[in-house]
Amino acid sequence: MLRYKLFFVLLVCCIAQHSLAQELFVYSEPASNMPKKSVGVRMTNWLMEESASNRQDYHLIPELMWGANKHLMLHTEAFLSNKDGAFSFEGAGVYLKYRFFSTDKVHRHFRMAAFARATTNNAPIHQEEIATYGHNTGYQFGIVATQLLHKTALSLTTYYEQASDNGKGNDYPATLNKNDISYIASVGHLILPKQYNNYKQTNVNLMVELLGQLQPGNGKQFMDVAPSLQFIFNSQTRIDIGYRHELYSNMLRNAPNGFLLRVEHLLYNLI
Amino acid sequence: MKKIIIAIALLVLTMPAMAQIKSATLTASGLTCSMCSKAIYKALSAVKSVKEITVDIDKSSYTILFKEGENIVLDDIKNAVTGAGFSVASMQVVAAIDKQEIADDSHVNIGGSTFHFVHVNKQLLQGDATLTILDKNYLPKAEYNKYHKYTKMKCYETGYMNSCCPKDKKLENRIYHVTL
Repeated sequence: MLRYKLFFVLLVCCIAQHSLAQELFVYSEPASNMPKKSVGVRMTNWLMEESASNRQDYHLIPELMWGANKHLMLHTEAFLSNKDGAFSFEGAGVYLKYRFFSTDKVHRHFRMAAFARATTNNAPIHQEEIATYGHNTGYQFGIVATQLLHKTALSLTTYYEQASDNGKGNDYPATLNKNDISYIASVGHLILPKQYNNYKQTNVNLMVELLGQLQPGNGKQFMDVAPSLQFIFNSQTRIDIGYRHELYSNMLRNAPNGFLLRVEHLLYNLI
Repeated sequence: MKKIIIAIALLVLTMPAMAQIKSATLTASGLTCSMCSKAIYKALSAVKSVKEITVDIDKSSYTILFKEGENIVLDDIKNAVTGAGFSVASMQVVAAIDKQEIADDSHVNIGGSTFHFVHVNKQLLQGDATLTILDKNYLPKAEYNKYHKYTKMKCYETGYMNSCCPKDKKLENRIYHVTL
């Protein structure tokens, strides 16, 4: 564990020193919200390698996002996958984020937001890891703090998560722990452009995120690292490519390692 | 004929000084990325009185040209920036002014907006004048506090005339505090 913590601290220091970065993180949300009246359409694809076989699980998570006002944004999301046979609809969720603290300076900010997610899922439960985003029925709530330093962005997210019985008779196994504390540390780095001239320039961001979960009931935990590359076209369309890799785990996880491909498009002044 | 000339002369002399807010330049804070900058650009573009915007993305600076003859509400510009999720770090307004006398700590109507001049010498404004807005949320707090010592008037804090009650916070009572 100490080895991984040291690795992460060094990684963050290295990136922060050279960096030009963004906060549109791939495996977490920043404390900032979408612009008021804007609508975002997001399609997230996961291709995860099952631990117990050579099988690849494919997940599709379409999301519709809305900036209600400068403080509040809302996501609605659907969960589809082929992890239990045929590709099918497994559940849906809502996510709310409220920005409650903000200090802005030119090219800098520090912001904090509270968020909550409630989801349903019909899939069979066959892992100890709790993931209300895509696997479990349940809820999560937490806070996120994001610091933008010129073009460097650092973010810390932590949330409490509680799972319950999945639908279609897939009850939560009584032997498993039902709740956890999750945390994410994120850092972003803008590679291109070196200087902004217009909105048509393609932005390239490099992100590294550390994702962890601790289940206080049984002391089990895991920690993953997730590097990702992000392209932003026309300052409006974003493509994320990421790979999530387990660094440490003492809990049963079905498919912890795998790729992410996300496409997101933002429509301004819509509603 | 003599009467007509006198009547025209009287009309001209009694007309208020003609003035028009032509443009505004603002620096936004809290952002770096072009996607964030574009969000502000799109929000500003949706303001009815805005004709054209020139952006310097690197400096987070926006120069806004207003439509002629349009009712310009400067708070709409500030609200567009905050609605996009960011803040105004500074804002200057350029007004075309035809002979307008101004004095320190006093109010003047320019182009349909009431301006309260702070920390200025008594003078006659003629031609294009650049006014820096000093109101809350138009500049950093330290700058706002710096200019507070130059006026004792309550409107500097509220931004409104007679603002004892919420109902007085009407558009026609709005006062923008400015300096040259």
